[in-house]
Amino acid sequence: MIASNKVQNASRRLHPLSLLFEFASILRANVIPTVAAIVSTSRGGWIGIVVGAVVFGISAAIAIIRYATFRYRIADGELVVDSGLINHVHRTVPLSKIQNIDLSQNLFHRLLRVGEVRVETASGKEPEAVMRVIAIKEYSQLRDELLSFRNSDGKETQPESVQEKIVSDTSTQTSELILKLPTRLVILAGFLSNRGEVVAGVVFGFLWQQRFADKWFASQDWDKEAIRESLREGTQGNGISQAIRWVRGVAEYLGTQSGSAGTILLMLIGVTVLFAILRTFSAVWYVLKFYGYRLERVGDSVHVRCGLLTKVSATIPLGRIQLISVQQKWLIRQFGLATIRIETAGGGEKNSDDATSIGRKWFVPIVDFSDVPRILAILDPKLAGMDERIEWQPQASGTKARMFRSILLIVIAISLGLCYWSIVAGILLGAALLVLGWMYVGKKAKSRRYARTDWGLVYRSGTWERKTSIAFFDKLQSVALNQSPFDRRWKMATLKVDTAASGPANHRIEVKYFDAERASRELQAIIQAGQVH
Amino acid sequence: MSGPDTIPEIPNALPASDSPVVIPSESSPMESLRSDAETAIPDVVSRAQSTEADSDFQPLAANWLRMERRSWHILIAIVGVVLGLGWLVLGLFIRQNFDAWQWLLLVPIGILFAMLIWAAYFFPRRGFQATSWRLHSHGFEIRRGIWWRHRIFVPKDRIQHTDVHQGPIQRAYGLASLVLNTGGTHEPSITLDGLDMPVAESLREQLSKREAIQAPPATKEEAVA
Repeated sequence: MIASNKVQNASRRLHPLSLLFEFASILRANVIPTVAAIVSTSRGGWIGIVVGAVVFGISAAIAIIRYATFRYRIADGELVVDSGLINHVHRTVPLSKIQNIDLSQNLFHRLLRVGEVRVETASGKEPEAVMRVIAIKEYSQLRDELLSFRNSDGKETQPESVQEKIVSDTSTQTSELILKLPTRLVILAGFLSNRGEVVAGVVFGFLWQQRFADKWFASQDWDKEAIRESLREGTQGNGISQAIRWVRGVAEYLGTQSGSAGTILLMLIGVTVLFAILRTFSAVWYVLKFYGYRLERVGDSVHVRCGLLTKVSATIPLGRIQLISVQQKWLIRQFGLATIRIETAGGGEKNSDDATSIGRKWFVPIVDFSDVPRILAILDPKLAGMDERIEWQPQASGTKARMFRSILLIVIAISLGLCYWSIVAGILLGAALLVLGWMYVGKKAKSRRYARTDWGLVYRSGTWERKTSIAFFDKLQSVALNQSPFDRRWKMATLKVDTAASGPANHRIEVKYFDAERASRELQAIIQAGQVH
Repeated sequence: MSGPDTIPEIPNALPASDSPVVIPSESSPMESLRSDAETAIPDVVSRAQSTEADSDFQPLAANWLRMERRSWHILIAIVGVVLGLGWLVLGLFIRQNFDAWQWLLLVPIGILFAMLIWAAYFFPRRGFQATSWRLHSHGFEIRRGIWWRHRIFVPKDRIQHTDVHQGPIQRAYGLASLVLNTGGTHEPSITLDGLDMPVAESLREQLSKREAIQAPPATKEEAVA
């Protein structure tokens, strides 16, 4: 598998120049005391010399300790890194899990033929090993060893190279159209979305930065001082809050001119106009982003293309999909529509460019709800006819009562507060809130659903924004069962499932108020199912 | 203060650090320790060990208990000295009077001190009882938490890399922490403190292997071997 075990099993150290670069890096991190020390020394102060000596001494000591204790080796298909004197860390990274070996070289590195090497896997944000610095030939050797390991074990090359492969193969493979969005539907989705608030926030923020509105009002033949006074109150904060204050400011000014009824009417008109403007912004944003949306299947991946001015295209290998989430905000649900978001492995914040945003967060920005099963079946044939086969698990008895109890305290507090002014109003409002609360928890309890199938888990939650997420057994990163003292009292538990790259879908599979005994059995069943897959 | 060599509070003395960490059977000291924590309330997270034929759940190293107790004792000593000195300074220099109020002040101080002593007894013991781990053929499972109970299973092939971490205090007790890093978002790294160093090393070894795990390292000797 690996060429010569003897060479690879030997521990390697960093390049001796590491001392210098490590020292420089620590000094850079402590730039303020360093500069203070230099300034103070240049003025003849002895404190500067002491501070400087301490900073330099500690930096040198840290650099020496790091250099002396850092060892790495490749043995039995693993990269083994040892580091630390006081806190000793022995790290083992299977070569099959390594996603990247990055070499970075600044001018000094290049002159001295060394480089800083970062080894990364799919986990976390921090690199698994930072080698500051090793010789270029050592880096080449390390890279070759990794490649030779991968070549000896073909399937391990899949995670990283699959995306490039699919992209390059698209010209030779036939594509099958999955979904095409007519512009009419894109505009409707825009009007149903609150995306306009974001655009409005940016526009208003920009205008206030430029003092545009202030200048505009100043040019009108109005009571400038009074308007400015109203506006000045609205210049705090950002975006939407500024816009609201702005409208209120104008309305207040006009209200002083024409009486309170006029103010209310103006406020209503203002809010309606603002709402219409925001929704138009939203529709414009949707058209700019999703015009000509096409979802195609090409071989083992799907291809998304859209955009009016900036055309974005994203390729998602189907095998990398970790979680599929079908989401319906209340308004979207009323129109029988839905959006589909997906989460794919390999990519955290560093990959959040336009293509990944389209590929994950806006995978299917809008679709007829009745068309969702067809798209799911194309994404994964196992999901065909899911709706008929799915068996939602019953809820724990007492779920509604437990939810209600948590809002009972709030209702009592509000009622008592109101009773301070009027006992009748307090009691009436309290009673009304209790009825509404009971209805709300009923809806909320009903909206939470969980099912286990032979290929994965389905979890649905949300009263206003309904989200149904699908996770596959072979993609689960961990599964946990939590039980708080309150859970124990209600004979309940929470089942949590962690998947990679969860974020765009913003829906964690976290089944609360699960019957305790059943949850325990579920945990075992998921562990068992994970072994089979 | 009980040192690392004596742990008188616990019946059926636990295995010393250099003796094997045996699998707890139904009649083992571990079970009797845990049984007093069980109540009529269904406690699925910790009950798992008795109902699911989970006799392969392993306790933490006995030295962890010693280390925790020693840490608590040090904390009690520091708090005791600070409170005692504070009380004396208040009476001697600030109020310059040892009247009834000054003596009455000893009551809350005493209560605080008693609570600390109770905590020093309660937390390490219950923490030890509540925490255990087991190695599956395809993953690793941890059970812990005194009040907020937590059970987590990490499939072996989702582990991206593993760390064995040893701080200076842990080193003095021959202990180490095992850190499993996955590609998960909410719990990307799962840490288990309080393992004997050879056991931690052995677990790291087993979990890094690509083939299925044959059998868990039942004893420390086996682990070292």
